[in-house]
Amino acid sequence: MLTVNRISRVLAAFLMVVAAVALLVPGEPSGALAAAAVSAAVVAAWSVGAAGRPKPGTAKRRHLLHRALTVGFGLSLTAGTLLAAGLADGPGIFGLPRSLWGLLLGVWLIPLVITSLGFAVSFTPPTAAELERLRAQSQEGP
Amino acid sequence: MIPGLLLLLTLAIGIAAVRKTRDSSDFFVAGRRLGAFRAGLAVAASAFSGFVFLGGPGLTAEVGFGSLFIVVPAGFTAALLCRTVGRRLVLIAEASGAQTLPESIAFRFGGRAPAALAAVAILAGSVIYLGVQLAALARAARFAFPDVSLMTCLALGLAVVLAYSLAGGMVASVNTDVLQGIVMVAAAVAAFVWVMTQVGGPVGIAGSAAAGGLGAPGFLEPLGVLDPATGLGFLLLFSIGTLGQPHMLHKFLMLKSPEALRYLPAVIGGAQGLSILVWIGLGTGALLLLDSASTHPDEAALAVLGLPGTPELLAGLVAAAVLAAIMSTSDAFLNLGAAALCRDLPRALDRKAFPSLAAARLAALAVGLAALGIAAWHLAEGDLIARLGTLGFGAFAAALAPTLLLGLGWERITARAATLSMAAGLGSLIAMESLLPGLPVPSALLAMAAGFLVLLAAGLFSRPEPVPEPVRLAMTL
Repeated sequence: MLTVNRISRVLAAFLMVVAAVALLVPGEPSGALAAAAVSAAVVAAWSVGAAGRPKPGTAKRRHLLHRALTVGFGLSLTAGTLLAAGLADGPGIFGLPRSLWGLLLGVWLIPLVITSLGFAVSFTPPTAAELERLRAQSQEGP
Repeated sequence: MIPGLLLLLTLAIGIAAVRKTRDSSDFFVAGRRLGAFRAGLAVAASAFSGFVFLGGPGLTAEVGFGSLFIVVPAGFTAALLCRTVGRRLVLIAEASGAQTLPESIAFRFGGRAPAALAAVAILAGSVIYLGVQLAALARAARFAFPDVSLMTCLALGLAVVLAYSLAGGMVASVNTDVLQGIVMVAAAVAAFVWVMTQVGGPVGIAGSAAAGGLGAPGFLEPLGVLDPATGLGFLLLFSIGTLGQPHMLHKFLMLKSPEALRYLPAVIGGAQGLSILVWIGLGTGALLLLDSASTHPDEAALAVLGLPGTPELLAGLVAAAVLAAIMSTSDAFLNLGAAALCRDLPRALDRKAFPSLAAARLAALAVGLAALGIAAWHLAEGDLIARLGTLGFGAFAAALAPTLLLGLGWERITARAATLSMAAGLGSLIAMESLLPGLPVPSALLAMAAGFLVLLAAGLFSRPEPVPEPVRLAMTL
């Protein structure tokens, strides 16, 4: 669950700052952009920092995978939010606004692939013995 | 013809499920036999309702692509759901055999108040959300069966949902969800591809925007028309609020083992990702191909498919998908409402529960009839489906998301904190909707924030309560 835990923390940071933006910033796109830039910096720093700390007992290749997924998730949200908030306004791929691509790719599609993949490779269900213990404890009653 | 075929197939699955529904475990949790694929499709189908298939394109026609802030959180909510609330619910079901969300809450917190309040929130929210579906059904009926009167179509659709839900319970609900989910995904992809060919693809859309063909400037930009606080508020509400949606969470109690969680985010996210194409595709079509002034926004999606030159097969497939989206959510709420009424509330109030199948079916009928009243009121008001849908989603988010996200995994959250949080979330939402209409930030987001604050304050400033060992194990494994 290592990757998922890190991604959860990055996501929590992202959502907390979005909350601040949504609740505190008035209806001015420039204000939203400024707040999004600050939030993006926090999220990017957090994701890179969280991914950089090696956990004891984690194989090197696995650690690299965790790091790549976590950094990719954080940077994708960062770039997507910044573009959606209006940084680098103007036409992008196929002439559609960069802000639209930022939202669609950075906040939706890339995180979808990363979180699905990250969950599948790092999910560790309880063992049969642990489940048996859980059921036995429950039968004994609280 | 395709919508009729879907109705017949749905009924056949419901009838087949009757033989498999022998007790309340079959009725409420489908015998706890679901793997990742069926559960994932069932979660996606019940999550994406008439709100997505009709309300989404309608909202896009009104506010442009800022409406996408509602659906883009689906990029990470599936994994978030499985990682946080879903995993703990699966373990609580393993430990306690809980068949409903209030039973899971009762196992975690003990006492009667948290489960009672959760049951009340689920019952009220189910009636409202089911009412949204019936209103969407009435809108869709105008397109799917043009020769039949509106009321006849409404009665027919409701009768089919009631018939298979009452007869087959969750077994029927989940099996029909799988069929309906497949129809929804196929229709969303087909509608997206067709609209893109009609508008000249992304290049054509950009060209129309440059030529001023989109009504208002900035319609293609997420914050072009929408207030930033509203857009980001939607993003936050639909990110965290997903963790309090009982029609999605209930499916986790049906998983056959915790191992089934591994591929659940991929199945849920994939199905939702493809279904979102209908929001983008038909929303774009409504913006570029329709005279928006002559069409109610909630009928825009279907009006696009009524344009000359639309292949009949595509129009039929999308109409069937709209029916599927509505029915898959409706049956989930019928069963949830029934469980709250005949099982959770009596138990929480220390009264005798009504465990028989007949009682569950009667309760579902009562929930369905109450929702009819909501649907009639909404249609008379003429408001957007997306607005009422957001309110229904927000009611669950405000009442349940804080307690489920933090309470299921943190020992400091006591029964009193959970009760106060649910009351604060639901109460503040009702107060804001009544006294402060037209806030730039979604009122449900503020209500959810109130629920989180109360939960944290009550949890941190009250005396910790000992957590029984089985509960602690379910929280930490």
